[in-house]
Amino acid sequence: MPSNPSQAESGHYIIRATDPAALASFIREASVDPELTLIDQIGPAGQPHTVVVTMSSAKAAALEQRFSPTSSPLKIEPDRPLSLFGNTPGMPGDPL
Amino acid sequence: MAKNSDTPNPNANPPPADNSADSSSGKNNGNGASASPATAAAGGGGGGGGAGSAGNTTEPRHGISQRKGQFLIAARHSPGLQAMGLQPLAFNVIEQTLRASPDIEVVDTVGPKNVIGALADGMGADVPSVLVARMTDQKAGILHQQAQGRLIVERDHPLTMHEVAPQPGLVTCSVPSGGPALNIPILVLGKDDMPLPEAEVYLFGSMLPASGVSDVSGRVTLALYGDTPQTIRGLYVKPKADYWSFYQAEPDISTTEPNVIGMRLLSEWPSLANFPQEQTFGWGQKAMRLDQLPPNYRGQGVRVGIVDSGAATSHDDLKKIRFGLDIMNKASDPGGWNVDTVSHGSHCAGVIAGASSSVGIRGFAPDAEVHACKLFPGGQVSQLIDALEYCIEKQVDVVNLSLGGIEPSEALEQQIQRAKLAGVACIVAAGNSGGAVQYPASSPNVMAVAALGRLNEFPQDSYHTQTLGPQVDANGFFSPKFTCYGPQIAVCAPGVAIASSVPSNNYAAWDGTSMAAPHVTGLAALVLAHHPDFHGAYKSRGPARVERLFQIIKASSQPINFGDQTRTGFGMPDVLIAVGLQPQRGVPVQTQQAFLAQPGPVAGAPIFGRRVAQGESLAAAGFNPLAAMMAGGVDPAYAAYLSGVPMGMPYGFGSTGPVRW
Repeated sequence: MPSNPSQAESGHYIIRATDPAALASFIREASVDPELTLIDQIGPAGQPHTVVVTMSSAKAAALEQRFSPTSSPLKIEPDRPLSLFGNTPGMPGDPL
Repeated sequence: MAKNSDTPNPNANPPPADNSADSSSGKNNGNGASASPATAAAGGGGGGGGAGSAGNTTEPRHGISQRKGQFLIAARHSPGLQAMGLQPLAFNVIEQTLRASPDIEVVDTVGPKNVIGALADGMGADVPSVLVARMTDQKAGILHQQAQGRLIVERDHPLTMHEVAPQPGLVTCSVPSGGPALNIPILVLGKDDMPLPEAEVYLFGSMLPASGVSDVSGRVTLALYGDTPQTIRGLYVKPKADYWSFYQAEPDISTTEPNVIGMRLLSEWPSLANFPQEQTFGWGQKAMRLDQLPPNYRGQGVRVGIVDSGAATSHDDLKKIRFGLDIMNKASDPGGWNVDTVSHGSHCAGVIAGASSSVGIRGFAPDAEVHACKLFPGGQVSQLIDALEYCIEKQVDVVNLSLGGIEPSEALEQQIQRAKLAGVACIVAAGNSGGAVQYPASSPNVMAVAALGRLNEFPQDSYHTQTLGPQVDANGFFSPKFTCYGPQIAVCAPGVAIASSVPSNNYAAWDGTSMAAPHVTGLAALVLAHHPDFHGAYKSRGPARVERLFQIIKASSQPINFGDQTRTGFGMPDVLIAVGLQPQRGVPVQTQQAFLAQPGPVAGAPIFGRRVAQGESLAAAGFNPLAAMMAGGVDPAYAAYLSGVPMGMPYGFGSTGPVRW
């Protein structure tokens, strides 16, 4: 069992910005915050609009609270898995 | 039970073809089993005639047939019958009749065990009231019919424990852990009865299904717990490539001898004859009339993004693809997009842009510049956002998204909007859950595509039959059970039994809205490349161009009448109309009437109707393309092209008279 319970609940989160300056500020913050691991930056070169971050669910909840005002230029959401919509290896649905 | 050792060579002297609804595998061993309603519809819905009837000429070559079913039979005690002078049949008469029939096996009688029970039935003591007998569905139907309502004949349905979830893989308290296992040996054979390795085999019992993969000798043994041979509900074999799948409900299974299953090559299906040695149009391409497009309409100059599992450039049909990005490994190995371990992206790419000039399946836009963005296996929403960023950066024109998730994503939605603003059109598969349209297909900024099947485009004994839903139109198109539906559906496209490319250099026939969306994406590439609007008013990239593209595709669509537009949207897009070679449906009505009313031997007849014989040129049939062009109904280049080409057999567009299928 992990010594730190929050590690067991860590996951990937997407943080999207409508204001590049706000995201740049968050990236600077993430680089020094031990609870945040920056995984990826998405957007035109030098102008990311989205970052992918690993953090605990508790940390994500705190950030969500922080970004909750509608005026906030940052939004956070869990990075969810996608599925393909055709035949793929694996168990088919029971046709019956 | 028919022993499978009776059919050691599934290829040897197959029985003659039978178009009747009960020509399912049951006849393979002479037990006369009738097909399930779905199977019957898939095989016989075309009435044996018309464009799709070729499928009825192939013969079953597998060795597994439907077993006899168990039925409950009792005399009907109905006041209505007595009023008509029909007395209830005596139990002993019923029993004697059934026992005298060689193809009915009476296995039990059920009745009151004491006087109280007999009184409850209103009958004398010691008189059983129900017979349990085994027979084929067909025999049961005959029995029911001949009794003229005086017999109750119904299936003895297996009972299930409701707490057992139907989906596999869930942990429940009801999973049997002890008890004897039912070990079932299976031998999968391919062409010339050679062992077929790597075929996925599934058995559906009353509890959890069992699955395995055939080894190099074609063998696999599956273990079911808590089942008997009589409780096995289905056997499904999914080959890795080049063969049709196989499905048998209520299979007649042996536990002592190998159950031999002879698989059918894709090329054994008449519409795929000589495939892949000769280039073929899939049934979906033909339904959308790609086969009638002039050969120089190939999507040149358009960039198509395929966000999926990559595209295997080892395949002859895909070797022209030169661009892509492995999103999953963009830092370490961004060029890994051309390795497709899932095969899904390669299948989609074949439909969109299958490019080999002489072999395989012809894609919609073989000269389009394809960009394969790989994010499977393991794709996440963030990686889809990244893939769309790539498409924006590369100025991709149209993106195929045969994927989705459970919940909407605000971050993804903003990226889709950004893509649209940049002129990237997203065409998205609706989903396969059979419920509400999934995200991102449910986004208002994309074009959502539902799947469509067609009767007689796949073998009766293939798994594709299981997709058949209740909505079937007069042309044999049906809405598959799996397709998601809802008001967001813009159009529908072929998505059942779609043959396309899979690694390394093979083909497979698959189902899914994943297969439907590429038909529309490929058509969209053709529209962007060849419709005059995109060389004029809508040449500039931007949201107006995306909207115009969606508008043209929807307006080109052939309505599919299931009585439920949430499953079809505007209908199935038509290539010739969408690229501007024929007038839009319903828009220039007068022009179209003028177009159809040109003088000649077939005056007033539909240009693409049945009265133009197959192989006959339009010029020979009396159609004057120049006059039609002047009437505003057809593009001059297309008119010139049409005057010389023999006609294929389209799907009745523009028809003014009865069309028999």
